[in-house]
Amino acid sequence: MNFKWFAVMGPLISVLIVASCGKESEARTILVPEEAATISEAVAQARTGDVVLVSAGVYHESVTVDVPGITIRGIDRNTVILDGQDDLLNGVVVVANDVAVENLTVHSFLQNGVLFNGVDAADSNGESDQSSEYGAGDAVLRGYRVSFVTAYNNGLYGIYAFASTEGLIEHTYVSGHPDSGIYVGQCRPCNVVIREVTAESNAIGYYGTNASGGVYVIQSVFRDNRLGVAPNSQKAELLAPQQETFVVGNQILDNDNVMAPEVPEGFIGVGIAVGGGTENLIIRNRVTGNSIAGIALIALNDFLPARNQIRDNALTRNGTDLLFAADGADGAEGNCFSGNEFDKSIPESIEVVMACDSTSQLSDVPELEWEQGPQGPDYRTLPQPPPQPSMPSSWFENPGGSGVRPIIDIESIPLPS
Amino acid sequence: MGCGSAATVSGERPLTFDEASELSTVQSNNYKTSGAVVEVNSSFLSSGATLSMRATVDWQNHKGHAFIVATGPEAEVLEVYWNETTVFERIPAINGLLSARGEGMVEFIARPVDIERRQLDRAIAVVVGLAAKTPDNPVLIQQKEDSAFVRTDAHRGETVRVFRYGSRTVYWLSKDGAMLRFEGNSTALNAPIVVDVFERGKQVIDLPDPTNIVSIEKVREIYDALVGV
Repeated sequence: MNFKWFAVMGPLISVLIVASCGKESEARTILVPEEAATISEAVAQARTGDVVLVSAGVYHESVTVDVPGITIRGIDRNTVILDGQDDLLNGVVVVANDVAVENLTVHSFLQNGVLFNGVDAADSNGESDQSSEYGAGDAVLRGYRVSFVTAYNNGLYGIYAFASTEGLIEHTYVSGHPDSGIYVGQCRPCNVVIREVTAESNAIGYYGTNASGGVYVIQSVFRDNRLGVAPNSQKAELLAPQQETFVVGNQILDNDNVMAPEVPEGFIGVGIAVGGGTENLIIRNRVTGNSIAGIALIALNDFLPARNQIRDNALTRNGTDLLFAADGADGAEGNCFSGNEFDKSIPESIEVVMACDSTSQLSDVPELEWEQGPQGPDYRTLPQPPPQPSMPSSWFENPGGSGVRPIIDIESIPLPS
Repeated sequence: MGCGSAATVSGERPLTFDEASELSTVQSNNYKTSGAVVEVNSSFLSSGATLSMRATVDWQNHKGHAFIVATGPEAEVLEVYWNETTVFERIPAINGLLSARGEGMVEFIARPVDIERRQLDRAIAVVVGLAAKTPDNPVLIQQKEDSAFVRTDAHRGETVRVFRYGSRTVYWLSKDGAMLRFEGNSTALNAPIVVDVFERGKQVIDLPDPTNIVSIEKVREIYDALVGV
């Protein structure tokens, strides 16, 4: 296995001066509602490099962003609120490159809080052809960022990046979603950093279906969901199987919450579940109190987990701390467990029979009896989360656009205390 | 399939995201409306059997009631109620035989749902499946092979938009996104089905009184002789 330890640099697009009709003009800040009555009206006026600065208030609108390189920025995370009233479909749909959404709350939309959708991105970005380097010839959105956003009680996902690459999701809180709080799907390479987020009371905290290459889920908290973190492979999306997610330095706590809304036919009780994923690196996470398993490698949808490394995690009070259960595991090779603090594993002595410095393969794979969780509450009835920290004032100086993605050195990320 | 008319406008094209989003909420909107009256027409082309029913469905409480007109194996079934686990059938021929045997006049026979073998149950499952608690994922609908805007059409006096959702189902939607017609076809069973949706809103369905129900196990011999599944 040849993991790439550093994220690829994102595009440097912090554009301050843009060409418009053959004439250069300075990037602007468009005030809502002072200069544009709604966020959507401000976006319609915006050009690359602009910031749409939204004043405190409750905005009942679905915003589609088809202008590349702009930022939608709330003046205060907890008082700038996009409210779908369980009637509107999506809070913010981004179909253009290099867009940032910052410092606001989005809730009660029928589908997603914030969606980056690469399938619709080509037209907005002036691309006449799809990128042939992007896996199966898919459309792709390049460059996105979500910072200091609260998303709760939306009908599908809180933050959703689909067919999108070169992203950053940070300092974000997601709760009360009947699917996942954060979802990255169908991308190769994804090149996305998810850091310092908190996901709680969702059906799944982080879900990464066919999300491959340079996916960093780091230094975050996933607690009281039904499932915590789940890189996985599925046939319903392109680019299977899933490959290369780095899950590092997270707190994965009590992900067996029956009072979180359930995804239909979904599972419950696992902190980190790699479902048919490959070449994932799961290291130095603190994994506690998950009723079925702390970290599990399982087969899913005919995909087998392969070449995954589970190393140096601290696991306590889980039903089973470490679990390997890939039925019919002919192709489930190269998975290994080493250096973990744990009490119970299936199979027993997992760090002997599946050690990372060994070439031996497990021949007797246990059968997995996996129960689906009970029905949960209606997500719309879950409580509003408490106020979250707003964006630092210095960030208000930043120009519009998604900016530069950070370089991640996973070896420098410690086990959380 | 459908009602060709002067108002039909062809021009099949891929779905826009907005259209995919609208499709993704059709079933959850049905669920929110609570229930409806529907008319179902289905054919089982391999056997030549047909089945039609006018049904009242309560999607939120998973209950329904229908009168049946069928040829083939379901021909003896006249009326049916259902809940999540059980189908209650009124089969006059069995009622008469039971009465003649001196076993009283019980109107409904209760049996487990059997989607594998019963055409009636598959039709009910389609009706039940028109509603869902949560919306689908629009980005997956949009990229689903064969999903498309098919045409505009006229249906029951209003202009509708016709969408194909995947390769095997077609939705006819009103201008406000309500499902007016569903067309499906099970490739494996070669069984096209059309469901027209009327009278959306809360439906009150009272299942038969327990004193008026007999378990299929008590009448198995007669039942199997009359209902040719």
